[in-house]
Amino acid sequence: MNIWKLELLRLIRTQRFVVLLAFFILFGFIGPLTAKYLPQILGSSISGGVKVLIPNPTPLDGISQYLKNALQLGIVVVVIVSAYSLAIDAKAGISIFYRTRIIQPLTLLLPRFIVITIAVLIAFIIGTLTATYETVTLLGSVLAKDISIGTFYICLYWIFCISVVLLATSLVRGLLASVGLSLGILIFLPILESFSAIKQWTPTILSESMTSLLAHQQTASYYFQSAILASILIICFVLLSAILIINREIE
Amino acid sequence: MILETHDLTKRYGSHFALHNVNLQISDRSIYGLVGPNGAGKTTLLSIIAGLRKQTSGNISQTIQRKEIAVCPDVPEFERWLTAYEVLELSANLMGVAKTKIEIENYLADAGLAESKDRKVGEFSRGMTQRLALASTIIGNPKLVILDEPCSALDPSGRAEVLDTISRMKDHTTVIFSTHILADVQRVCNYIGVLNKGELLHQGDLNSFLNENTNPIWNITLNDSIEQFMEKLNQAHWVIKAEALSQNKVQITGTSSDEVEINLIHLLSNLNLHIISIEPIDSDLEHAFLNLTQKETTQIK
Repeated sequence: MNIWKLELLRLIRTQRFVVLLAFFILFGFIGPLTAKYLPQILGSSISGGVKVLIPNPTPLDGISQYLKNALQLGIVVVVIVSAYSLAIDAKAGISIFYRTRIIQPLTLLLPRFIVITIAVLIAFIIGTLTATYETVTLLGSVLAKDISIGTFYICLYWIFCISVVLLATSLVRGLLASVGLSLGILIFLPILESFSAIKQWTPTILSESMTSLLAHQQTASYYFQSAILASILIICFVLLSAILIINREIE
Repeated sequence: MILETHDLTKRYGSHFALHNVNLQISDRSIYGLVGPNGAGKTTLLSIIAGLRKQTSGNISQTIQRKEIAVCPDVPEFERWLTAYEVLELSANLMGVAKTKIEIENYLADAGLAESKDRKVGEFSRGMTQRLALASTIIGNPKLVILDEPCSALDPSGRAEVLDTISRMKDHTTVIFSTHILADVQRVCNYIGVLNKGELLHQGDLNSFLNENTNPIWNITLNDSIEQFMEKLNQAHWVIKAEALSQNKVQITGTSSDEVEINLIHLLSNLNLHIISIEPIDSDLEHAFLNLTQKETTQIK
């Protein structure tokens, strides 16, 4: 058994892939469904002569509803699931097993990082396909090109998020501390978007790309800068993590 | 020497976990590193294994780091792997190819043949410890570091592990830390005594016992022991003389040489009839206590 097979087994036997898949598929179904039937749901719950005017749902509403849940709750799920895989020093005995057998830290880190990243991306893409199918069925067609470009940018955003988790696990040892630090960083980053001078460079704006493209508020090129910066940061975070981990003592 | 440390020091704030430790490990020796809890054994082994960094001093070794294998005092594995998969993975990560039969043989040697397909998460502490030892030696390392390998084992498990360690001495070097001195006496040929971060002694185990224990002899006579006891109590080479029966005496001497020379003279001068003279084996526990007490007295 090599280290890549080990990571695949980790994903399958710990049910982490099932959790990710179930989460994104569930919201892929629920999102467009909620958008479609929201007027009826609200209408049935309001009485006493109050009239609520809700515009007819559009295909954009279906996708937006999915992304809202998939990104807001999804960030918590992705951080927790990936921290479990990436926190190599959380348990001293297991850490000693790997670190006395694998001398190069990247040999240990990269398979973990790549496998959990691919799992998150597959789950997200399947969730997006589910939401798109449901939206087209219930609310009308959407532009495949906008969905594809948006999916690409959001996948880059997920890779960035997982690299933040990797960095956090190399800065702190425990699992809870890693999850807390990662969420702290990822919640703080959108605050930078309020500074207009750097907004276009912040990796977090990639998460809005699909809805903005579908709503024709932005073009694909608007996200180039943040995509480039996110890619550079991903590489830097992985390398920095390797350096931090090789210099960290095992108690 | 396969590995030497030179003035190795590890400091946590103002506390010295290790202080100028000069360890010398000969090739194909079984080196018992003994010391009370908190002596610095795990810290020293962790530095040798590359898991911690020394504050000062250095290590010279004739082997590569990948040829050193470590078995920690509390081993852990991924709970969702089977025992077979742990050994398969360990061999792969250590860069050695092992066939299915070879891996199963390692499991059988560790007493885990029937548990090979069980998840490690279901294992008892003793089973985990035996699996850890198997996963350490499966890569044919040149230096094996075992930190308290018997700490979680029952007497039969402990005996199996000690036998495994004994068998290693023909093809590998072992550093074996423990506070169970009987285990060291059973399998080691070299000893290092660590106390409060300082290496008080290291060298051949038998020399250590001779230097740090007072020899004990049982003498059985075919005569009354009264006159003999009187003379023993006056002799400069006797620390303690105790009558075990009407014709049997136990003496604790100052050194083996002095007892061997003077005892025969005394018996001859008193014209006593001897039934037996029996040396009692030196005990590592006494030697260890003697050494650490000497050190404490010197500090006072």
